[in-house]
Amino acid sequence: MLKKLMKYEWKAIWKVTLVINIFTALATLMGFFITHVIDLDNIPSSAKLVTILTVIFYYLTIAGVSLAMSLYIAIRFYRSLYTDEGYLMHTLPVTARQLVLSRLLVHSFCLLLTGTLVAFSIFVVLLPLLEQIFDGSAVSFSGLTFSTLIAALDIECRNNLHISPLLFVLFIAIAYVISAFCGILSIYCAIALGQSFRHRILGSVICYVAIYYLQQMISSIVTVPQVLKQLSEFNSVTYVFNLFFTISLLFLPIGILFYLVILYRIDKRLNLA
Amino acid sequence: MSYLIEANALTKRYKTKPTPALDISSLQIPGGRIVGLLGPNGSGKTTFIKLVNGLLTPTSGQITVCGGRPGPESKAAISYLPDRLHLPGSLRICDLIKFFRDFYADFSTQRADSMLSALDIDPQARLRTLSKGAQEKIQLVLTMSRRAQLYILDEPIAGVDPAAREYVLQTILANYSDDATLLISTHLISEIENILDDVIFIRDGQILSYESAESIREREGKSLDAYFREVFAC
Repeated sequence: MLKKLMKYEWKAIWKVTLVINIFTALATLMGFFITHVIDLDNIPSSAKLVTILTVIFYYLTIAGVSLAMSLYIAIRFYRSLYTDEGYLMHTLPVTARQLVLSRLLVHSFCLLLTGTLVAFSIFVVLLPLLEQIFDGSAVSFSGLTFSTLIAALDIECRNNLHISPLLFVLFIAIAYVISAFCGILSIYCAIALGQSFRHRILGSVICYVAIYYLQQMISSIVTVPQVLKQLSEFNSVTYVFNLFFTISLLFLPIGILFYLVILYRIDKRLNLA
Repeated sequence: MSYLIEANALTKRYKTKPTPALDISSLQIPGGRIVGLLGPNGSGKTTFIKLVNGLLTPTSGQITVCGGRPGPESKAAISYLPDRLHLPGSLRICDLIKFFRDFYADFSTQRADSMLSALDIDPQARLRTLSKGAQEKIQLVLTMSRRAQLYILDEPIAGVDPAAREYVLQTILANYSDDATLLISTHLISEIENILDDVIFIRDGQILSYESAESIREREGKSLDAYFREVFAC
């Protein structure tokens, strides 16, 4: 039943996911053109406005797509389980766990896909600028290319973390998936808790803001010592590793807590209007 | 004797109302009957139906359906027609048929196709492109295309024009199997009273009576509709 639920959820969401990712791809192409093809120091005055508008479009798109995807996921979860469509979903011979898991897996995939495209876009567009950013690092970044960057990562991982770069990337990917799961579960949890308010949508928004600030507060308390420690002996790879490790350790139990709250609200406190 | 639906000390309160929307001390509905859940608007009919379907959680007491708490097992046995349009409008009718076939083992595609062709509705049409009346008929077709143990129809003829009411009742009777139980909620008694075996009268969330339709007619010497008007006179 889980597979069937996932199939229908995917059918319901894939078109919007595609549109959002097409926007990301278009913005990436434009950003790539600006940073790789055009000589930014010698732009003709007639082309300056177009260049500025393109850069603004790139930034807005990249900043907005993950937000748009998260918002769509929230709307989709609310509509499919708490509006008239909920009468269909909650009378299917499936468990609350299957209803939530099917959405979580499909929505996480969509959010991760968008997030990965955004990360790839930033990497591709900003690659020529990395040389300046990493200027002064232990590793020489002059004439930076993708292969030299991988080589640099290899050196940094082996020297500072004593692990292979593959393990480092794998760990970052796991942490990334955990944070996506946790982010989506916090949205679901807010919507599930918001149903106990008289105005259910407003209640969901209030719950989300409260959850978001609580999460930020906890993660700040946990990660600030890491940041302070890194200020004295900064090393980018170690910093990223430690930060992701701490956040993953923190997000895993929070995500599980959100999941249990959602299941409880659907299984024991469902009240469809 | 085992009952299809059993409720004990069942109450449901909403935050917006001081009095309970439903307060049932005891109710048992056996299998193989056509039961009318009759009462005026706001009497608690839909609340009771939602509790049976697990769409609401009781404030106190318990309800069992097919021997257990409302859950996946009871939902597999119930074919439910809500009092509203609840199917995703973006789906084509043929996709909705696939959806029901995928989730309900007792769904008959053949039966659905035959009812759809009688209605002359294109299976490729998206639900939202159809009129409200046609959408309601599609919901009814999908509900009655199952071989369920229990059919629950919440106000199936409310808001339907007289010509369509006949179609709705014909569809229900033609596709309902004798061994199943049919629970119909309505306040339009005259239209359905001839098909009812038993009648539950409900007012202000409380069960006033639960007896056979025939015994009411014999005792009162009048139709169910006339008796309903007498009991629920304003």
